[in-house]
Amino acid sequence: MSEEPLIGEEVFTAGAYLGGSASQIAGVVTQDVLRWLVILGVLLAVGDGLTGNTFSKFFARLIGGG
Amino acid sequence: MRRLGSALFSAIVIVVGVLTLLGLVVGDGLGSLSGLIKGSPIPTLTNIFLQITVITVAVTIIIGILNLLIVHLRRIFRRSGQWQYSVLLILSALGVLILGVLERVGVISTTPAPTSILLEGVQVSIESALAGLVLFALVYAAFRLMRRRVSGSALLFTLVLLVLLAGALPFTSPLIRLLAAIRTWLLEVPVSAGARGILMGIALATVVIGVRVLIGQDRSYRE
Repeated sequence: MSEEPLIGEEVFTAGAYLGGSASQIAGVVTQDVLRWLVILGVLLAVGDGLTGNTFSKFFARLIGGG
Repeated sequence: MRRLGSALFSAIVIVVGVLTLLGLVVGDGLGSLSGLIKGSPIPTLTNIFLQITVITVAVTIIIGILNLLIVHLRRIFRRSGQWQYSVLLILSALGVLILGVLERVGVISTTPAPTSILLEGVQVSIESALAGLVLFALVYAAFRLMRRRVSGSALLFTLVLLVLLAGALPFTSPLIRLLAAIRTWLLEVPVSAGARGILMGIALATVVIGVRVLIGQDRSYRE
């Protein structure tokens, strides 16, 4: 039984709470790292939209070589 | 011996998982890899695995229903607790089951189907009524929060709750229209952002769990 309600991905981290093995904690840390990457991606997309697609044009030139 | 069994189960799960992933993920745009996968029996195997999964889920639902019926039948036979409600539950379950079977075999072919009428008239109505009770829970929560301590978060919660409730009123005065506009903004921007954040978190966690199963680190399927 949990004292607090589990919201969203917290359900998936119950194993790490209870077991606490290195492998399970690594999974939770991975989730956090991925979450920060998603946040960074969202912020980049917002910045790209606000600056008239500067980032996407830059990356297109970088990848496409144009 | 037990460790050998665990290793075998892990190997089966990894092989099945990787094959299913390949069959689902590899489309037409990956050149020779697409040709290799499409030409192999992997897509057929993926379909079989998915069908087995769907059948397994359906069987678990049937087992759940049977378990529910057994628990309530036991209550009826022992006359324990409020067994009258168990009688109602068994009769309702059997009634819906029989109606569903009669619809399937074509004995009942009215439009709309009786099971749809039951779903709309009973299930949806009850769910709506229960959702309506959230209002009371929220108002009570705000009352308790403010009575314990007037903090910034408690004030924000109460304020947002008041705006949401007042904004839903069916009046046309300028104040209510302003509150309705704020309510719409609250629901479309912060609430929507929060819900999407939670959904993204769940999606990321699902990916991590999937990878853990694929590399044999998660043991949930053999315990």
